[in-house]
Amino acid sequence: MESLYIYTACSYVPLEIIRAMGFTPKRLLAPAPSETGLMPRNYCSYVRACVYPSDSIPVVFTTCCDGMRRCYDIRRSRGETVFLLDLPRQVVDTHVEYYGGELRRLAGWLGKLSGSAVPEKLFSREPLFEKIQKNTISADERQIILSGTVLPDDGILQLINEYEATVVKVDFCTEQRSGAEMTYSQKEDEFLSLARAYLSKPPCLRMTGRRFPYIRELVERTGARGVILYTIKFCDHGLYEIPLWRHLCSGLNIPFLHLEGEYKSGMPAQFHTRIQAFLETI
Amino acid sequence: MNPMAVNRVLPRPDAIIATSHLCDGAVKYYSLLRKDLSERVKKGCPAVPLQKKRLLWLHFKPYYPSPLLKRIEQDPGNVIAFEEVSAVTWSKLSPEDWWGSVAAKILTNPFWGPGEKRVELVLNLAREYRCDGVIHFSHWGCRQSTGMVSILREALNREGIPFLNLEGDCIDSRNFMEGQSMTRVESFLEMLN
Repeated sequence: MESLYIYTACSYVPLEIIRAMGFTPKRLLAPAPSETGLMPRNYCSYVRACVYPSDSIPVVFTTCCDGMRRCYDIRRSRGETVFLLDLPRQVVDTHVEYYGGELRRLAGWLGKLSGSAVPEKLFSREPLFEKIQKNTISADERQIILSGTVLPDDGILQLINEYEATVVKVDFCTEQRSGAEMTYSQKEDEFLSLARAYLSKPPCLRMTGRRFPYIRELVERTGARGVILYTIKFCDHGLYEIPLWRHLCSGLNIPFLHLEGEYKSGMPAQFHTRIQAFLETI
Repeated sequence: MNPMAVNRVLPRPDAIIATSHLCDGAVKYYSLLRKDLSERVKKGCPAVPLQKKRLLWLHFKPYYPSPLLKRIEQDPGNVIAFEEVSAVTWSKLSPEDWWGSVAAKILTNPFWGPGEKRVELVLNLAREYRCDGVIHFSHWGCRQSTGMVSILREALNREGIPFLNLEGDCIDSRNFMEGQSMTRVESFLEMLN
């Protein structure tokens, strides 16, 4: 196998397995999409970006959304090295067991790529989970939560900082949701343990049943004074999230701003005005 | 092999583009349809006598008054031989293992799971029903179906079967560009004929 890297397209792919099998994981942040007709126009631009390979690095997709499933299908049909993990939604024993089996399958696939068998003991010691960043609550009164899915850069964060507000929590797949405070049980099977740890991490927008309690706890814990939700156009999970945040923020009497844009660098001028106006209400 | 496919005896094109398996009267409707078609097969009397060009319809159709399917029928010799949502992909249900057999039935749904399942089904249907062309109606926002269009187009092209993708909305007629779609269908039929 030529590539030393493995791309991941979802924060639920355990990076520990990729490392244990001798590869280096990298988050797939493809360049903004160019239209060549492989996917319909009304797919989210992150999925449309991921369908065009910019290099030959293998990719691990999950069934996190229907767009990603089809992205995997298209890339597979073109003979590329891709893998699809079937991702459950709940943290119950049956789902953990199923996901544990999926992770074992992932390790087997990685073993084939590297030409080595999956070792009986995957980790010689407790895997070093990515640690969540500790919140640093500043004295700034304009503290907000920024929620969403994925963006190629931190342009929106810079924009918020320009207007002298502080983001106390970045609730994005590429930020704090991708590294969670996880515990590992040495008594349990390694794959089951990883499955349980990853399914228990802060839920993403797809994990509908657990999402509302999580965001409520997030606002209460951080003491945020406002919430900005950035969704990519045509992202279904992002759209499901709008009423949750709106209901929560209206109940807590804090302002809420929904921005809908594309997966690309830079923020349109309209967003500057809207963010500025929003921050003035805090 | 489906005897109706072999005998080229077909139902009316717009008769069964529906997933009404659980509707009241569905058993009666499908039983009558089966009886009618069996009689036609016996008599050698197809619903569409002249079958020059046979089409396979993929995904849904507009469920509101639309001249689209009528236009296909108007030109004598065109017939929608089959459509994929009516394909029976599951084994007979077992009363002894009701839950297991229903679960197995749902898991065979070609819109669920890897895309190869749907490609395989479409290729098999195109072969079994001897279709000359395939039309895919891309319902707005259906990720499961519309995301497969490029894969289906490539697979059918490899088999030498012409493919047309129509974008629209099967429920909301405001999202269906009727004039544009009709022109594209007419061009497709001209090309086939």
